[in-house]
Amino acid sequence: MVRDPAPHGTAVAWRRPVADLLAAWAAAGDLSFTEVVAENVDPGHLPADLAALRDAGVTVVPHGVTLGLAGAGLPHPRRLAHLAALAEAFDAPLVSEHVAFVRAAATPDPLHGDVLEAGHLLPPPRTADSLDVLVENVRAAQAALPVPLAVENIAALFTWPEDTLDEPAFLTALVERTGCRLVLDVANLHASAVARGTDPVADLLRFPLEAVAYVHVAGGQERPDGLYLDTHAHPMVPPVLGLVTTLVAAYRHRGLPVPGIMLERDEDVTPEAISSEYDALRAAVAARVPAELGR
Amino acid sequence: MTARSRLAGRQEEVLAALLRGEVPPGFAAASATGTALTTRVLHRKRSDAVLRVAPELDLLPGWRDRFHGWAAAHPAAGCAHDDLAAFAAWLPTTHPDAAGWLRLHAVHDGRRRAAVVTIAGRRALVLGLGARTWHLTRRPRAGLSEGAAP
Repeated sequence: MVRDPAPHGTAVAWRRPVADLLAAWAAAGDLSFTEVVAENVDPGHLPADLAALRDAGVTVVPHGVTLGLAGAGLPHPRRLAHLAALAEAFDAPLVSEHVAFVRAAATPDPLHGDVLEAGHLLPPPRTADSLDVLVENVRAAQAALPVPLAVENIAALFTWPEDTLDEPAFLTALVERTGCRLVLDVANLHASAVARGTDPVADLLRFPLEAVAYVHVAGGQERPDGLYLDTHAHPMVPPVLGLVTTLVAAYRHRGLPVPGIMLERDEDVTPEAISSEYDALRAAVAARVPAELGR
Repeated sequence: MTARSRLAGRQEEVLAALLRGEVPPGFAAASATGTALTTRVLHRKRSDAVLRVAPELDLLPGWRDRFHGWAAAHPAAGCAHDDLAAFAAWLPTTHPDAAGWLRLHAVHDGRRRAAVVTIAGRRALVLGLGARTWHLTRRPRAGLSEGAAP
């Protein structure tokens, strides 16, 4: 079956408990793409459900979480080879990762220092230095991958005191220097903007939207301390659904095709929870925005 | 010094502080809410991974707080199994009340065939049979339950 080149429409990230639901959507022609966590899949032994989606023409994007592209060390060749093998196994048009560091050692060569594992995606400082390192790391990854790479903005609960670039400028420079694509996560953008005290809509409109391969959205928790926690375990909150609506309007206004928009859920992954969130997502995509936001 | 080595030193310094639960060097006090929540997320991810390895941790009262306290002083040096072993080795040195849970854990681990422990105020006989663990209590109904509680 011929695969559509670009992820489009609405979608849900593949998780085993909703494999049947996604298979049914694919059979009905309602699923153009999905995503799998790369670290959970062996390219030599693809789960049958995922192979069936691929064979039904659904784009399956391998999504890595442990590469640490924004770390001080070069991405590990073994992790890159795994992503490359998954791209081949799924016949995927791209792979994705994050603008994050996930481990740190006192020296950039981890052989000569004790490595601290964060086990989580953390924001790098946004300086000229760290941008140079990130650009080199992304180029190294691109050279090792058979398909284009898209990198995702993460949910950051803090910024670094040495930052000289804001997030839209940092990501724009990264795209200009490497030609990489972006995964724009609007829930992460909301979390980061709330934490740093910026306007997420203004930030969104300054992202390099033409470089976005697809969009992520997820549920989370608005906390009493004012921060927003990107849990992937709760319903999507109104401001995040509003960002989805704004995003669609921004693409239409600029005459750009609206990229695929994918829901991520990692806890309480039941067909009921997913279906209800999926309905909320589609309603947000179809909603109209006030004219002043569609700029 | 190259950009890479400067970044390495700084990221290591900041991550180490986050793992210890401190505001990283150079960060304004106003960042404390965000860095403290980041620490919570880091510790929680680590305890989630250990719980997947040893679901019986849920039978140790207040285990999350105890584990997070331990994690702040012991950065991850391996996988969840290593964390579990190191945490279990540390527990009796600071928490004498965990002795019963440690016997129960030893049965789940296959290092012990049986243990009599008190879980939620109730005496239970914990038996390891092959790959399975049975918790036997005197509860009038449903006295036999397989595996650890939820």
